Amino acid sequence: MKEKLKLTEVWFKIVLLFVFSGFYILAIPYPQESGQFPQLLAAISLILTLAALAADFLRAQVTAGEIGDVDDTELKVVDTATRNVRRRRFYQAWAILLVSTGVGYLGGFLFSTVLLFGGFGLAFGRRENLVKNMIVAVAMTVVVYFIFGRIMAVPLLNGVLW
Amino acid sequence: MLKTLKICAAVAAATLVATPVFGADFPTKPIKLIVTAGAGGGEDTEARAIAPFVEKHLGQQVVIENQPGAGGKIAFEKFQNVTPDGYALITYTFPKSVIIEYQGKTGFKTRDFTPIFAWSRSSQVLVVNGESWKTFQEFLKAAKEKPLSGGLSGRGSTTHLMGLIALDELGIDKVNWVPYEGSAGSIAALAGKHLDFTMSLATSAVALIQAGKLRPLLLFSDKRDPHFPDIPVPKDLGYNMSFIPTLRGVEAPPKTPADIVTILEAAFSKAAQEKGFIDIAAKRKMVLEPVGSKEFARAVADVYPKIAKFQSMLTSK
Amino acid sequence: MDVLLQAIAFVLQWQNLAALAGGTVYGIIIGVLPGLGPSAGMALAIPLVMTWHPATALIFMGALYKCSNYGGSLTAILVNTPGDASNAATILDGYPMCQRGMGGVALGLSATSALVGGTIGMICLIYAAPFLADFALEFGPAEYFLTAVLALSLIAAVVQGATIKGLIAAGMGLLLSTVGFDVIAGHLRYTFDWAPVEDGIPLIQALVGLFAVTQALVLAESAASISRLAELSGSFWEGVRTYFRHPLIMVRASLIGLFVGILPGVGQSSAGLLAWADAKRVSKHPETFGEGEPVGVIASETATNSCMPGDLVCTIALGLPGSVGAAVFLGVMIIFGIVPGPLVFMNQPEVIYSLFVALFLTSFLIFIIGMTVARRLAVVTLLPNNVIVPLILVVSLLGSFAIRNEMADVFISLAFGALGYVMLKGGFTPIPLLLGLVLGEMVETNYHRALLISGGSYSIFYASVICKILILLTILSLVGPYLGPFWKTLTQGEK
Repeated sequence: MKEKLKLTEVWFKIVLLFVFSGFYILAIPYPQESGQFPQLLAAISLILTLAALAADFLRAQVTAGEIGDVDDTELKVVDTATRNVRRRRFYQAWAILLVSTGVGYLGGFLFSTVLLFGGFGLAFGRRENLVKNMIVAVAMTVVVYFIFGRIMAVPLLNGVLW
Repeated sequence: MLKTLKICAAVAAATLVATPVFGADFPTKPIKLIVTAGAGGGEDTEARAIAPFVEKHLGQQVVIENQPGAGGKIAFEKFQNVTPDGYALITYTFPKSVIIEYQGKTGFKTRDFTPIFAWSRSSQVLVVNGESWKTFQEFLKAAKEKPLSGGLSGRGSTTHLMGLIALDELGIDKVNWVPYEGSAGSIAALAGKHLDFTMSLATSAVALIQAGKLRPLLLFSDKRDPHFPDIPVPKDLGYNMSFIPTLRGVEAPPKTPADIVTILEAAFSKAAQEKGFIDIAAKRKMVLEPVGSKEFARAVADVYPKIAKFQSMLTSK
Repeated sequence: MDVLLQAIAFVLQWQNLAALAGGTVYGIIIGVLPGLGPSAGMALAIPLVMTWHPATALIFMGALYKCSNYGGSLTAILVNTPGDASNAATILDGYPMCQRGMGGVALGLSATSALVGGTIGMICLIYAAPFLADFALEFGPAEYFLTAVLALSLIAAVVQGATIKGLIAAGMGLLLSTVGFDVIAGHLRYTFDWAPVEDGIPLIQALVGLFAVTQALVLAESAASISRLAELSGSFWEGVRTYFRHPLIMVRASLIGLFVGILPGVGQSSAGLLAWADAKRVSKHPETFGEGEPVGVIASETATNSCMPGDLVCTIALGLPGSVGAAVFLGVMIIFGIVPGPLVFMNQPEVIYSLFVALFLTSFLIFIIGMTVARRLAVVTLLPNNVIVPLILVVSLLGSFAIRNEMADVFISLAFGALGYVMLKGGFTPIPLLLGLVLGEMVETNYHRALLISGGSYSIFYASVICKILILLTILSLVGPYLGPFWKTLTQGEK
């Protein structure tokens, strides 16, 4: 478990290395005053990230030595199952979010709100509450529209096609 | 599930049905006024001040929408392609958008827009701290002796432009320009004696000038400001300078039909004459100077070569 | 003194009390929406108040401006979603308290903080505005730069325990703050010709993404309600009592908030975070901070509430707005013919002092609202997952869009949401990133400005008394935590 977590962190730091280098390189053609600050920051952050990576690897070697003997296959299986469920939910959430935003861009705010509530109700709600969740979806959309769109005159997204 | 969605869509459609559009009269539905500055700033306050009076004369609501991104560039670019039916207008602090055009490639051309009306004009003023130089001559002498630090409301802004023109005409060699975002910052720094002088619009420094903390030394205009009659203009001191007055008004998208322009122009012009508006303007120390659509268009065309001349100054200094 | 009495009498008229109440409620509602801040709220309300008596209108607007903060802290505590950058610090301890079911206590702390912080702030404003304003003017670019550096050094305290990661996150925030138009050299940095970020990465939209969207995703993933327990424990009044057990923090936080508010240009965003970092630094058990430590909520909330009166100091006494919200408020004042500045205290004292008295009363009103309505809201933490997730998303993306009417801002928020999520999985906390984003411009632009004024000489950075004090404070804040144990070893060594 410890090692798996560490992997995500390590990858993230490696990505950061590229990001910081990118900032530095992109700033090279800038006029001197413009580039000073970003380059200084990028350089310092780069060094810090390398230091953090080094610390990670050093720690990993120590821990690996300590827990090598314990048989934790069972633990790993349980963890994998939960992690897969979580991952699935995560992708679902993003899918609903992105589709709703796209729909909102095209059709306007009302559609995206309905989809968001409806989508989440469908994907994450309990089966027996399906109808109730759909009603909630429509109700919430209407409520939000009235309170923000009408009463408070907040600008709401107008679809491109609507 | 699908059925529920369809019902939802139908309900939504029904709720959103706009007022049916009747015949060819204009206007028959609310007009959108895009303000290319953030809420609360000078441009926004002036727009919100005149909007209720315009509503009265148009018989329709004027809905203000702030689109401040990139100094207005994003809004201008979108505006270039808006349907010219008169239902979308944009506020315009002239010559802001022309300066933007010279700063890089843009997706719009100010000369394509249809000017409707401008209601106020502001000129830049050179301000110093109340405890330092008392006359412009004293200031000029000091400026020629060593480089002073001067505040700007932003690189490439009208104050920057005017500052450069002034340096040129007055024969001052060097000034350390310190850019700020907007005028409040440079005025605060001036009041705290961190800067030697600052270029700003008269309206931005009103409060501190009246309280005596700041002193305006020169107004960059051809005639004196009625609210501040004591500030000399370059002509009084024997200088012949070209100016970049800031006009504030509205424009319509490119190719707006002439009859719609006439209706809008009349509405704004009458609104600008309303006593209520004049009162507000007086309190803000706005100088009201009505400029009709044709004059406005001419001013826009005239300013292009002037700004082209100073383009290189803008991008290098 | 009798101007004050006159003002009190004026405010007690029913229409002014109504304006006061209306502004407060409207402000709180606006504050609840992540992204929509007081500036948007005030701008939207202008048509409504156009026809009112100027003093009444200002009372409404002022109450709106002051109370929007409280709305934001409600969502910060209950849903881990700051309504505005100023509420960011409250989520650090407020939300964990909620997760343990102690939402009621947190709400009690927050309401009391609003009461005390707001009151202290208003007293300073009423009695010392011109003096405070003059003090603020002493801050030139060099002083601003040093203040920003001091603030950044306090961040090191925030991330004690994971210092390198915290600094990296701060570095990322600072780098992101350079995106956009460079005020000093006039050069576009890192924009790749995409217009929406030419003014820089919009702060609120990034905040919404980094906290609200990320939080929604985290909730979606875990399928739980916010409160891990099925019921709420701990009462509102317990929170109130807890608050008054920490008078020292109360004073420190109010002063920090007031100071941050007074300086024009330093927005409210930093007040809460700085007070939180400071409280953690002086605490006897800093490791509890971030896990649901009441003192953390006390510090961040008190500072945020004393910040707004500080904001008004320069706005009213000098006519110079200290933040975007203040700029809108200034615009409103001008529309009604009140021109703020040093002379306004002489010319129109009755309007100004009525405003002050009314704002003073809002603190109490917030407390009452918190006591009655807010704690019922704690029930939101028990809402099922599939309702709360889209609710957060809809409300926050709505706010994100509404600020500039810009669809691109919604995408920016989503992008930051992804970033926030990835950061959490990668073991980084987003708070230092936020602070870097907020402070970056202040650090860089003022550094360059100071050098432009001095003609390149570095002496400007230690010329004035204020500069010297700031440098000293920065050194202390960096070294301070180590001085204690060091001192102990010295004295023990002698024995």
